Amino acid sequence: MAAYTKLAGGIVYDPTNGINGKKRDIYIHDGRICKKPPSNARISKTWDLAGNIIMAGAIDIHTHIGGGKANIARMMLPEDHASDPIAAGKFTRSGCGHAIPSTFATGYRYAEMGYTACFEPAMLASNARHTHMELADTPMVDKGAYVVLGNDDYLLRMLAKKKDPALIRDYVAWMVHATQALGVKVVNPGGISAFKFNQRQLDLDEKHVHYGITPRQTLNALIDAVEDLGLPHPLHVHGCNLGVPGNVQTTLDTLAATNGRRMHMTHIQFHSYGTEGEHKFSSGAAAVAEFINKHKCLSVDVGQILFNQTVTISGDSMHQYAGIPHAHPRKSAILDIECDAGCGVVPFRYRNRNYVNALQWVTGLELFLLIEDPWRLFMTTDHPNGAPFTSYPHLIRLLMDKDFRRDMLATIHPDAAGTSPLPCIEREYSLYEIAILTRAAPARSLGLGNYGHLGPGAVADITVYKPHADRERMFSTPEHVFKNGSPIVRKGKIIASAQGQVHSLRPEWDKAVEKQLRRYFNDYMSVKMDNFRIQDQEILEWNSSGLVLHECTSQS
Amino acid sequence: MVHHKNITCSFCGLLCDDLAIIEQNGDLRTTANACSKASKLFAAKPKPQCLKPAINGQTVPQAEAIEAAAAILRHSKRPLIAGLGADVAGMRALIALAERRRGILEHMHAAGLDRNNRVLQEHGWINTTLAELSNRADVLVFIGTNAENFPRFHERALHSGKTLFSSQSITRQRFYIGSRSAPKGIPPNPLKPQHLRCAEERLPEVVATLCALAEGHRLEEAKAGNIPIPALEKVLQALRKAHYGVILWEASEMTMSNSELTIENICKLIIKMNKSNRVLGFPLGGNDGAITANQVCAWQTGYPLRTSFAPNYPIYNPQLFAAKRLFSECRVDSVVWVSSFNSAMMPPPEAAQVPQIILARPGGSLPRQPGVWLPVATPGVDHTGQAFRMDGVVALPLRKLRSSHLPSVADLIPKIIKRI
Repeated sequence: MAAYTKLAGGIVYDPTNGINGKKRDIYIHDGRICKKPPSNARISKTWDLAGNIIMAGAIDIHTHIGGGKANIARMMLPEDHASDPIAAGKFTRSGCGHAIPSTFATGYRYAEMGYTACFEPAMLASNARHTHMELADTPMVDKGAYVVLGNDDYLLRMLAKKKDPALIRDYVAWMVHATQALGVKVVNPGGISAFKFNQRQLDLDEKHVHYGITPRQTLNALIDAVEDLGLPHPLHVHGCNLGVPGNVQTTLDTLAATNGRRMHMTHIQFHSYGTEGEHKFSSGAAAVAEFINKHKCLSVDVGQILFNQTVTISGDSMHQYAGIPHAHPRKSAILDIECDAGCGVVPFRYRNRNYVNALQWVTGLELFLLIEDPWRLFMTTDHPNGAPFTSYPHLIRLLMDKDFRRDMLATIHPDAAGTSPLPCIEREYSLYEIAILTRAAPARSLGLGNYGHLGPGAVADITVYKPHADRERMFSTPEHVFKNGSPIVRKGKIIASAQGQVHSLRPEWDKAVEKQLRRYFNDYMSVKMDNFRIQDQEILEWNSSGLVLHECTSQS
Repeated sequence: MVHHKNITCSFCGLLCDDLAIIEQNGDLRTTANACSKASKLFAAKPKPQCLKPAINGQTVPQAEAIEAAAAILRHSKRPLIAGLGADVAGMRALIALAERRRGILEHMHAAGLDRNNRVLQEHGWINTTLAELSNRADVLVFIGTNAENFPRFHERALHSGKTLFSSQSITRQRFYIGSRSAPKGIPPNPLKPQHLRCAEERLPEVVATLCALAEGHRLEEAKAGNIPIPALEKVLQALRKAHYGVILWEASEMTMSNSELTIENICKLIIKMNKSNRVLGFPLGGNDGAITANQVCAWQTGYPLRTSFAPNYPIYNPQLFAAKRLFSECRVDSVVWVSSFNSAMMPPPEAAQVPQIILARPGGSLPRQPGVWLPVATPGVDHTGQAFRMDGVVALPLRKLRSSHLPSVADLIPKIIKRI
């Protein structure tokens, strides 16, 4: 019988199991957390963690770490990377960091911050194989991706022809299988397609020039399909009008369109702008937060911006195109993709003395502090769009330390600070709440029952911090990180490599859908259906740690 | 006898995936959807003497060749890992080797790749992919190319069959600017292609003129690159009226001076035209795994090709790390050359000044170059794999069509690394 590992005497924050800062021993057996073993069991290693803080490994529910647009951004920005080289080490490969790090560096830097799982939110179906190949080269963390639908001609065509929702549901399930996805996302529903027809904007109830359907219809159909299939994570929505002043009304309308159904709205900061004040650009955070607080079926992540050079990479080619004049440095790449999707890469520098950027910063923090239920709120910078993921410890400090927050507020454009309720908000996140935001809530939302907590049966992905009043410092350099029960990080540095598993869903569906699809691929697409689909074997060849398949409970 | 269907052909950047192939006793014969290049390269049979590893032309057991390759690399301070004709797995292994030996990565078609990479870094673009092109493009402007390096391009991308957004077949208006006219035998289309003939070295002037005209400037000259200005105006008018205009170029064919600036001007023109209607770019290329190599290099190192590991981390310098310059300035002291798709692609003559390790598909004769010869399996023929299409978006699975005793690049490189 394999021996046990004991993590002794740490202060445990494990919201899933209701443990709020209690001294507990944790036992690990065969890569999993287990109950206290019988007294005659052999404990091969005891870690004395007295005085340390223990949480499950952190989980990033929305981070653009792999796939076509990330790689275009890498190719585009050698000047950004040159300032952050990473040498090959005893356990680690070389690479580079900052705005959009190389895949190896991405895995290492996440692990060094105590993250053990990361999810790519925008896998384009036609680029899915590429995305998975990059994720396979992202070590240390578990991973998965959400397939982007809602601008694919096949779906829009079905909606225009008012096809039976069952057919749409089966198509969505087929796509989830074919692309090995862990969820479904929609980006600017129908808008990316509309841009290919030279339409330059598409509001929630505006008709697509070709299909005659509205984003609301697309959204409704996809929410229904996801709910019907019983996918654990609700439809992941990047709404219409990203970044447009006044888009808060569209966002409120989009949230209301759910009518009691589940929905996750992502990087909502970029969708919460009003048009008030002399700059005609204001925060709509209060109204959005109020709505979220009242509607328990909704969840959001913030997409906080922080002041630095970064690069914005998005499937929303329509709005990325509109952002070209703001590029810094002045370059950009926009792509129309396979009658399926699009993408845009626009480098950007957020400046604290720029009113618009300062207001974006304020809006994000207001959302964090006004939304009451941390179980429905996830910590993201929409890496790299708001800021590189390496900024998370700084963001945690902004949430946990109101004095620090006020100090920072004093450095930004005075008009953005002056109109905000932020100086008066006393709320400081507790460690327990941070553990919800960064572990328990994302795991629950993704249906990863064995992750994000420290109860018996959980995968032993564990992060140990040395308490420090400066929370940024504390969260930047964990004392220990364990992946599947094995130590991988010590004092914020990699001490062993790990591969991490790939998570994907297996919803049920009617195979009949393939007949029509096969004909569609043959007639119109540039690849054959059988070659489009990613076989399990491919994923397994790239990932030595394997593929974790999650069943879904169909509602129909 | 085995009939294979929907096979991906990795012998050019177009990556057609609809081939039918019959395998019999290890011999392959294409039976549907193969161009002449594909038929030849699937059927190609190596000479028996090429199937065995060799050192300076003398057949040796594989272990000995691996040992000799490792010895060269052990003593090499700065190897050039070049050719890079490999699938994704092969490329992963080659990057690991480059990192391990502080080498430099350079693809055999890097000159073209690099022109596009640098335009992306200097300015950027608005581009499209194959399925958009075939379903939407109604005005096509080929600059300096007629896509003949990709034999089925016109058939697949510009066909006159059913498309998604038009009840009739699309009437595609085509312009070919440069020395090459529309290839013969392309599918019928009611509109005759226009050839605006000019010498390759005049293309920079022609493209700059198009940009100036698009900006609304009036020009005093009657011609640019020998093309009458009104003919160029017509191209712009067609693009302005297009539902979906596409401008195509092939960077590796743009060898004249100012080629990079010319591509940048094409991209500027496209961005300019998008203010009123949709016009997109389509860079042709990607033969011999060029896009695959560039993609894997970018995600693993953070930089596109022409990347060096000299300081134990990747550094990118496309001017300095070009093979020609590296040889002429004696900056590399060994070469690992990889060409697993095509036996005809061999190291440039300058490489003879340093010890060479050649991993290639076996062909009709042993390479003339001295050094270590390690024949390798062909991805998509002898083993499974993945490769990227020219548009950089679609990656396709390559299938194993026959059993082979040859090792893949991904098998062989770790064995060499182990012996270093």
